[in-house]
Amino acid sequence: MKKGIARKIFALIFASALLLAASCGGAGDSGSPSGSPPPSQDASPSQAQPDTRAGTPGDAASGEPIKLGMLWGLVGACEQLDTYCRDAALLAVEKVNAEGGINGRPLEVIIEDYASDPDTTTQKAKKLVLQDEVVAILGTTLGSCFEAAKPVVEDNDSLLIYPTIAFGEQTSENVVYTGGTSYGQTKDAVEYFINEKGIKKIFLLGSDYSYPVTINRQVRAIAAQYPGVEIVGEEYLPIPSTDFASVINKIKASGADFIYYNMVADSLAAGYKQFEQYGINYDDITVVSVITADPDALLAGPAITGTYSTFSYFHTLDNDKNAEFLRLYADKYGEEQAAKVGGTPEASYLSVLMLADALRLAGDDLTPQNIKSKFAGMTVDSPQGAGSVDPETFYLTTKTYLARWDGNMQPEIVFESEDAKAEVWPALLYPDGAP
Amino acid sequence: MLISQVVNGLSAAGILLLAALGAVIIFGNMGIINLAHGDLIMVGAYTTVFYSGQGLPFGVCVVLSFVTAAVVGLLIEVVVIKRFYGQLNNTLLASYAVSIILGQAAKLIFGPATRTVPPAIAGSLVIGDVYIPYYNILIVAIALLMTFLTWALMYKTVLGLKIRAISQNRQMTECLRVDTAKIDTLTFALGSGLAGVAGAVIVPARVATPLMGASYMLDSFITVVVGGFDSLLGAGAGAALISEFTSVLGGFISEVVARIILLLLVIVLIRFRPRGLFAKERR
Repeated sequence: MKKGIARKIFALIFASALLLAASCGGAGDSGSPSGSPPPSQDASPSQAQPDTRAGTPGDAASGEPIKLGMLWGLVGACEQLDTYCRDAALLAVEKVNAEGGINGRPLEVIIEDYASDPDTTTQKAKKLVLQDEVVAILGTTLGSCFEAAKPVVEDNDSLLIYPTIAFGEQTSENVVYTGGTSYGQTKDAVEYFINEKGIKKIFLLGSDYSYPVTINRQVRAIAAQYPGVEIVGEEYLPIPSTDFASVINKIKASGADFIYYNMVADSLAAGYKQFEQYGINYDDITVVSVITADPDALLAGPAITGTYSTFSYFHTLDNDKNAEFLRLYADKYGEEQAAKVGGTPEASYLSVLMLADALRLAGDDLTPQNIKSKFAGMTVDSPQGAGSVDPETFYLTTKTYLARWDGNMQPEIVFESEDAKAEVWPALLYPDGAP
Repeated sequence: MLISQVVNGLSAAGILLLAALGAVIIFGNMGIINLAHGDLIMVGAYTTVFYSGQGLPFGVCVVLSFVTAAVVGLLIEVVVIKRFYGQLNNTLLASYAVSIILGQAAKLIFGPATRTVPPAIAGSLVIGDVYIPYYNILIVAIALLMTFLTWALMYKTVLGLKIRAISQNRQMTECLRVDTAKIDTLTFALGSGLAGVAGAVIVPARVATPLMGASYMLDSFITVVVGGFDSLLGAGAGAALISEFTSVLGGFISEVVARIILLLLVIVLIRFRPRGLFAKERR
């Protein structure tokens, strides 16, 4: 009998380890906000077009195709977000090809699925660079997968266009950061609430991985500039956690009047729900997120109403470029999908247009460093507003839009920064510039 | 603050107890480690999401979740688990496969996004600084009710008697002309149904995702190991102990650290009390 129990327990421990490994594999330790839960519940547009190649040469462009690689995580934790990104990017490829391609040559897209997994990302990136010999790779949203793709393009001197908003504090010879850095959005939002709403006590709450930890360090540096403003708490929850009861008690006990809320995956929606259940009043305690973006708000439901997000793009922005983008998106994938497009898909669309410009300027010399050099100082007028690529760091400068989620879970813009910024090495943390 | 944490711990215990009830029956009585247990909770959760989307009241959703999860459980038992009785390691792998299939199937049907429904009862009971959502009180009530019903079934009915008899001595029970295969199927379906109820009750308080099963499965097995393999009382006590421990400790230190300490204590516990704190002595 005793032996039987020992076996049972051993098997149980083995089983637990197995499951734990399985459950952590996906949303694991990502360095970007894109571990956030996937956007829509409906059949994604992916089913509409299983073909992995798009941008076939039409009448407009008939020369020898230029190969562009794309890396999207079409299964796993990134599935939903990356599907939107891919769809938006393909939209831009069609637009480029319809308008004559690159000096008469069409863009040919080769899509690889990195399955939300860093090891797979390495393999697929190598395949694109070495076997397909693409001129550049666009993609990756999950931070850990970006970190896996980066050494591949660096070692083989290729080019990676990274459309996801990053926490900054890094640069690479072989990467163009078209998603920009979220430091500007964080700084503008925190300072807005300090100056306009007089918040004094900040509580930092995030999922337990590198992105929230890094931006919270940035918030500490910003808050330190304002006498009387203090950080009253800093808590991280393990990634699949959906129980906020204890943390909400800590928030109440701390007397916080501002929560910087950066949760991903299952935790994101659960947190808003429990704030409401446990009586957090958004009039007394301001809740702001730099991760919760357009599609996530719909998932969180009405509990999100009255909280804020700070980002480089919201689909409710009112400008011609955004209207054009959303119209193209709706024509191809439907109105309902277009109403859920967030910042990373928009940046993916923009990235293709920027790359096309760089390729046109590069002419016949399509070596990665020549293409990259054409990005330097490039100005763009895009759905997210005007910006330019910083010639030192190769980050796209982004504007800050601070949005309040209204009763229909739609972002209502309450603040817009004057200009676009890309402070890759925050001066408050790195007074001497890049280390 | 401390009182709040103790109260929070109780409502967390309600969820944990519900999640563990099915495991007590399937794992404790039948000796099957069913890695798809968490996914049956997920089945219950999505059943409630679906029917509450159709406008059905919460009570009906809970019953439908029980039925749906029980039917899915029955199919799993008949098609897969039945073939592996007595082969612990094979059951483990087979049920892990079932777990993956269920998770991915849910993803195909409902999409990978988080789903949720509003709580059946809105609002909170406020006593001083302590906030208790009414829904959490309902959770604890449902958990206690389900525990009582399960107890009644196991100890006051002939079916329960047969289930317990099989768990004590299968050959002997077979000799008494009890159709053990049929009882096994029923027991498994019952345990699965209870997991479904847990799912139904969890969704309004939290969220449903296709892969939510894994974390709930871990917690329910820990509860069973702490409480005792075949004791309903043990499951209740185990759930309360674990929840209060993480909740109260989590109020003062980081929740991640609280959880690490808990798991370390569980390892020590199974070394010295391998059948759990409240296991009955067996001869």
